[in-house]
This record gives sequence, C-alpha cells and structure tokens, in this order.
Amino acid sequence: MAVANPPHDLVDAPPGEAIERNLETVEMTVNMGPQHPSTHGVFRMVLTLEGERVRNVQSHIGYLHRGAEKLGESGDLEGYRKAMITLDRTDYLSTFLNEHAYILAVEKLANIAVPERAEYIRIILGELTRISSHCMFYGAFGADSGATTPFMYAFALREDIQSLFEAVGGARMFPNYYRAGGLREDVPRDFADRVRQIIETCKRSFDEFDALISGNEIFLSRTRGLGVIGQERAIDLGLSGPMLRATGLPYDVRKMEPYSIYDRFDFDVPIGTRGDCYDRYLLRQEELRQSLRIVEQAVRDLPGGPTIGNAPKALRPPKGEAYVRIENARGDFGVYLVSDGKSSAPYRVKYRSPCFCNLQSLNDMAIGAYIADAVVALGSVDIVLGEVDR
Amino acid sequence: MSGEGAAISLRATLANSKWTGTGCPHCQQPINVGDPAVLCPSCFTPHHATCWRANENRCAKDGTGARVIEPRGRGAPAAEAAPPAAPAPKPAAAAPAAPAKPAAPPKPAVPAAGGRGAGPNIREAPGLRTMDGVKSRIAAALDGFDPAFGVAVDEVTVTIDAARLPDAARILKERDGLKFDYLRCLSGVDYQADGIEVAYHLFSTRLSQKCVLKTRLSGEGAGVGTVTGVWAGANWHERETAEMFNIRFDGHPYPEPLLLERDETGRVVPGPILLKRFKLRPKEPPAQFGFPEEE
Repeated sequence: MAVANPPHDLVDAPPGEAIERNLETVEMTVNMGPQHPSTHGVFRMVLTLEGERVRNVQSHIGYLHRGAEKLGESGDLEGYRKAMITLDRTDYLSTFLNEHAYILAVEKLANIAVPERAEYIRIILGELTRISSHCMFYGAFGADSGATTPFMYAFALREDIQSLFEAVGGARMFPNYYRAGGLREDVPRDFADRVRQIIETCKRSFDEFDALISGNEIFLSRTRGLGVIGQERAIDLGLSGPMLRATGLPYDVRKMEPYSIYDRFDFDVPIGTRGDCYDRYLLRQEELRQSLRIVEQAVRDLPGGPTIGNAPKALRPPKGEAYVRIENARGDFGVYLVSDGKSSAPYRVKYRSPCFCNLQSLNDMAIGAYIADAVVALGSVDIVLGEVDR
Repeated sequence: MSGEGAAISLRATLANSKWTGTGCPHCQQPINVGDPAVLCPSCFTPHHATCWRANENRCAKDGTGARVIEPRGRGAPAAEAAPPAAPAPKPAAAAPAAPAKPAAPPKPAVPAAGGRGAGPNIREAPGLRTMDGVKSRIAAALDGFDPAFGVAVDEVTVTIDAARLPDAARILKERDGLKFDYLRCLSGVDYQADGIEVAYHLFSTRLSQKCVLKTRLSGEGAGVGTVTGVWAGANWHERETAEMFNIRFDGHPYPEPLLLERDETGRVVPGPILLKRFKLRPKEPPAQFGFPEEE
C-alpha cells in the first residue's frame, strides 16, 4: 500500500515510514491489568499509545502486597520461623532459594554453623528450584511470544521436581523446610536416586525446550533486538540476575560473594552480548544446564551425617543487623535482618527482591516499541508479583 | 553426569573442616589446614589431593576411582599459588566474607592472587576489599561529613547526617577507590524514640567492595534528600520507604505511594505500615454466631 502523493521529503523513504509519518494519530491511554493474561500476575500498566507505539508506561504495583515484612516482625513465640513462612509466599517460584537467603541471614547474625550434609541438600534443592523457576519462565515467555506449546513441556518437568519437593518438605510449593543450623528433618532415603532420575529427565527436557522455540523464526523476530538496556544504565537501575548478565557483566552472587558451599562446585555464569530479550532467554536456558551441573556434582558428593547443627529452639540472635544476598532465580535477592536481641521475632526484616528492582527497567524497554513488544519485554524480566509487592 | 565416572571436588582444608588432622591413607601424613584435600565418593576418606592423583585418581582404601574437579576461575589450589594457611584473617581474603560460615575464619580458599571466583570479565582490583580498607577510604573521602562508623557482621556502616546525605552518596559513587555504583538495597527501620533510620546498602561492581550508608531521621514526617540522581534504581525504593514510614525524600521525581494507595482525603491507606506504632489488628470474632433469628 503506497501513499498517493507523499510529501517531498518522504519520497525516498521506505513505504512503511512514509505511512507512519503521514498518519495523524491520537494519543490513547489504555489500561492493561491488573487482571490480564500477559501481565504475569496482578500488575497494572497504563499505556499511552500513539497508534501501536507505546509513548509512556505507568506501572502500578501493590496489588499483591500482603505485608510480608510487617508479618515477619509480628511473630510471638517462634517469630523467626514465621518470617520465613511469609517469605515463602512472596516469591513462590524460588521458595528454597529465598528460604536459604533468610536462613543465612539468621545464621550469620546468630553465628550458627551448618553441617555439611545440610549444606549439600540446600544446594541441591536450591538449584532444583532455580531449574523449576526457569522452566516456568520458559513456558510463560513462550506464551507471551505466541507459542503455547512450551508451557506444557515446561510444566511436565516442573511436576517431577515439585513431587520431589513434596517428598522432601511436605508441600509442593511452600515447604518451610530450612531451619537455623540446617534442615527441619533429613531427606527421604531415596532422595539421591530421585534426584538422579530428575537429572536424566532434565537433560532430555532441556534439549526438547531448545528444539521447540530457540531457533524458531517467529520467536527470534519477536525477541531479537527488543528491550535493550545498556550495562551502565543497568547498574544504575540496580538490575540483577539475567537482566544484568545479558548486558555482559558476569554479576552472579554465587561467584562474587560465594555463600554456603558454592565455591566447591564447578559451574559457569553465562553472559549475554546485546542485552536484548533473546539474550535473556538464552541466558536462562544456559543457566538451566549450569544448575543441572551443580546438582550433579552435589548429589555425587552428598555426604552423610547430621542435618541440623546446634541451634536453640527459641532462637534469639544477639542485637545487631545482617545483610545477606543470594542469587535468586531472578537476580540478587537480599535479606536485611535487624534483631534487638530481646524479642523472639526479627525487629525488622526487609526483603530486597530482584523483581522489584528489575521492573523499574520496563519504561526503558517498552517506550518506543509496539504494544505487543511491551508484553514480550515484560515477560523477559521474569517477574513474580508476589516478590515485587511482598 | 558426564559419563566418565565419579567426580569429586577439590576441598580447601579449614580449621573447622571435619578431616583436619586426620591421616591420609596414601602417605600416612596428617592433612593440615591449607592442604587441598579430596574425599572419596564412596567411603568419604579424606586424601591429600596430590596423593589422590598420585594413586591414579583412586581411593587408597577401597580403590574407588574419581576424577578431581578443579575449581574454575577461583584462582589456583595450593599446587600453583600457596593459599594463606593460617586461619587468621588475611587482608585480601577477608572480604567479602561468605555469610554461610559465620563461625569459621574467612575462607582461605579465596586466594590472595585476585581471583574472586567470578568469570574472567568482571572488573576487579585485588586487595581492595577488606573492611579496614573500605573504612579508611570512606573516612578519607567523607572527611568533612563527620561520619560515624560501625560494623554489621562483615560490612562497614557509615552514618551521616540526613541533611548532607545526597552529597555523601554522590561522593561514595564517584570517588576513586570507592566507586559504589550499585545500590543493593534501600530500607527504613523504625527505632521509635530513637528515630527512623534509612540504610543504603551499596556495592561496587568494579572494585568488589561493599558498605552500608545510613542516616537517622528524627521521626515521622522528617525528610532526607533523594538519591535518585545518584542511583536511578532508588526511585521505587524511596517511594516505598516513604509510604511505609511516613517520611519524605525531597526532590524525588514522582513522590507517590507505590504499594499502598491514597484515599479521597489524600492520606495513604492503610497507613505507614512498617512503623512500630501501626499494630496489626487481631481478627475479631464475628458479631453473631449461628443463623439469624427467624422472624
């Protein structure tokens, strides 16, 4: 379709541009969310559109704010455990990883040592959680780009992992399994065998995942070049996780400030080159394989022994504060724990959730793009609203 | 599994390792602190790493074979560069201390030769990460700000007067030797009669050091300048802290509540949640039990 009499300066312009520049459009404000299949939870975007192009994004969060931090201060008898229970429910896809962060903060403040077996099991469960969370991302991101099949494949793998979590912690999603000094109880006797079976299943599944959409022309054209954020801007915004690694900075807390026993395991940190959505997708696919490497090594080296160290039942860390950060599935998850030495609950517990910080980059990514691209860009951030709002 | 049989990882022997002092079954000598060791995957007998390799990568007790996984990118094990053997804190190895082993001395597994275990590209400058080093550099840079120093387990905390906080923040970000370009976390803590403290947890991606910048506000309604001009990521953090503690961040580009909302009078509802005076209401029992009275 060609414009009949384009103005002089547009004569040599490519046809689409001539049309775009000649069309008069009206700015339209469209509400997207909080209930929307593509907003990954209760997230509201007020988009100012000019035709199909996004001119401004106003993000509204807080629909899933449940006061996790306030509830964390409010426990009476065993308040330190109550804080962890509410923390489980914030990022419901990285439960073991977030529990690990909180428990590390408590152990750091109270100076409690953890036996080797408990460390290894925490690593295995944490990395399996990362795999399970990245599967969820894979399914949801495929759905954002229009591919509905990956969702089913991803969730089939998640089922295996979650039934292992149920066997270990008692619940598929909110196991409440870690305690200061170790674990609530030892794992079932067939734990190592089940983990090895899952490893085999994962290897087949990861190849299947790649075969489905990684090289797909439509997927590539939807994600390549979209949502580019420069490295300096990313550091300034406080991004972390795959968002920051896609810009080329190998910022992984497991390597920079190794916690627990991560320094014993051999794994790589994938980084991207362009910082676009496709890089983030590829990063997470590669992180699946690296997490699997860690699980293999951990289950091979899994020692016997006790699973809980010496920690008092009524835990009262001394007065002080501690900040611990770990590598969540989404980035740098931090727990800032303040104790007054007297009460049985934390005085203040603050969760620095990576999605909260990563979501600030949405304006950078979506403005100037088409509205469909805004959806894909949002999907590449991999948000969990429970963690954003706490 | 790579299909080549078992693999075991190279362990650094620390003062509190389980096998410290036990005899290696191959050479009958004790495994001392600082010697790289491996554990047999089947019987968990500790060996010196060199003895394991000398024994054709097999256990001296039951013959199980396993290859040794070299830690990648974390600098060399003892074969190449001698790690500090004594458990006393060494400058380059002390920070950032891993939070998982608070009872143990700083890990000697972090070699002094500048490896932090990151990939090859991370911008790093070895030897700049100790708490004392950070504290002295901050003290030199914030000389006129009258800083008060403290320690939070393994980080330096610097408390500055609220009126001068944005200037101090800019110095911390831009000064050579500090370069705290990453805002890890911005949080408020309500100390009731002692005021409301705002803590900025900072990290330097280039120099791999961390610190906590703090300021104490007098109470509800007090304000401090915004740091969104220093770290753009502080935007949402400040909005949330302002609504949760009823404080102000002057100069913020969009000082509206983030997680909570305003009612028709303009007040933030349900209120400054994270203040200690804000009590969570206990659940009241329903006013009426049973079925309503029939007419």
